[in-house]
Amino acid sequence: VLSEYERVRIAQALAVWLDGHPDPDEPAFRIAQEGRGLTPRRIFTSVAENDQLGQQVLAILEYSIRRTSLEEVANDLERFEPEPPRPAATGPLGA
Amino acid sequence: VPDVGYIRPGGDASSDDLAEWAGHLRTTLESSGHRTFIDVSQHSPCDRDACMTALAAPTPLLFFFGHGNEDALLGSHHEAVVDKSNVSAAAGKTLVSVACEVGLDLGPHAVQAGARAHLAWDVLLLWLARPAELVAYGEAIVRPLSHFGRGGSISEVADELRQSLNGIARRYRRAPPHDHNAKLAYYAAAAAAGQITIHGDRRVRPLAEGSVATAFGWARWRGTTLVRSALDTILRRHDD
Repeated sequence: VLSEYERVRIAQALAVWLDGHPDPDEPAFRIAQEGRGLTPRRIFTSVAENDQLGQQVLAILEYSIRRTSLEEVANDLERFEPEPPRPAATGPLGA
Repeated sequence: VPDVGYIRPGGDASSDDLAEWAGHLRTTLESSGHRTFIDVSQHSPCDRDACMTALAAPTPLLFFFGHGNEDALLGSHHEAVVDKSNVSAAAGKTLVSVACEVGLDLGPHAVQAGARAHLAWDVLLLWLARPAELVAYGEAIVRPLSHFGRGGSISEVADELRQSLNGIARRYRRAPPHDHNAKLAYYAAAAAAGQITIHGDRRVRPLAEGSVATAFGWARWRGTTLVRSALDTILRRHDD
């Protein structure tokens, strides 16, 4: 189980992750525990509020934290590149 | 050839994913000769009575694909359909629970209650809802489990599951750096690969009796053919 310090650090990292997310309210994740898709915002909120889902997400991250380090996982979550602009729709070239 | 049982409640998006993966597993195992003795789905319907029938069915191997928590396997309405009060009906069976966190508590309890072995996860199973990723994650679960049909032991199947889920983690890791969802899903797949648990007899090969039976059946058929051929030769010489 992560300590309170570790949970707060991961919540900070997920806040950065969410902040840079292009679709924070899109139900992008599914879990074998409830039917509704999970949005990135719900995942962040659960970890920040330390509810049951938040603790389960922390348990997922704890697996890698124990094999690397808290900072490695937190920094990885915070590190992202902006999505490159999508190319304009192409159509037949006009005369 | 031993028959197989399935419980796959379905009824919502993620449970339907799991039920569909169970369907693929069923098709694969049937193609290797393992008939389906019972398949409890939302069409059955999947209630506690139906699950009790599946637990007690004369099959050496029972799969559950659906929602779960550490105490119970859950039905379409999030009700407990398998828990500590009825899992003893599966005494002697090998159970595989593709569900969240069932390995934490229900898994060991099932073995204490008489199950031969139980394979499950200690962690939340989380996957990406994108169609291509649904297929990939499902294959990463189904392909290793189909190894039972070739006489695989539960520990061999767990090893294959670890490898295939690590493959999913690597797949997510290779996603573009702006793919936020793949980043979180990477950690989930890595945890799923690392937190598969087996309780009970790790060497059990629940469908291997089928392989042995097939081998004996083949040997008997071959022996009968050879004897018949020899008798034909003798009778032909006698006629000559």
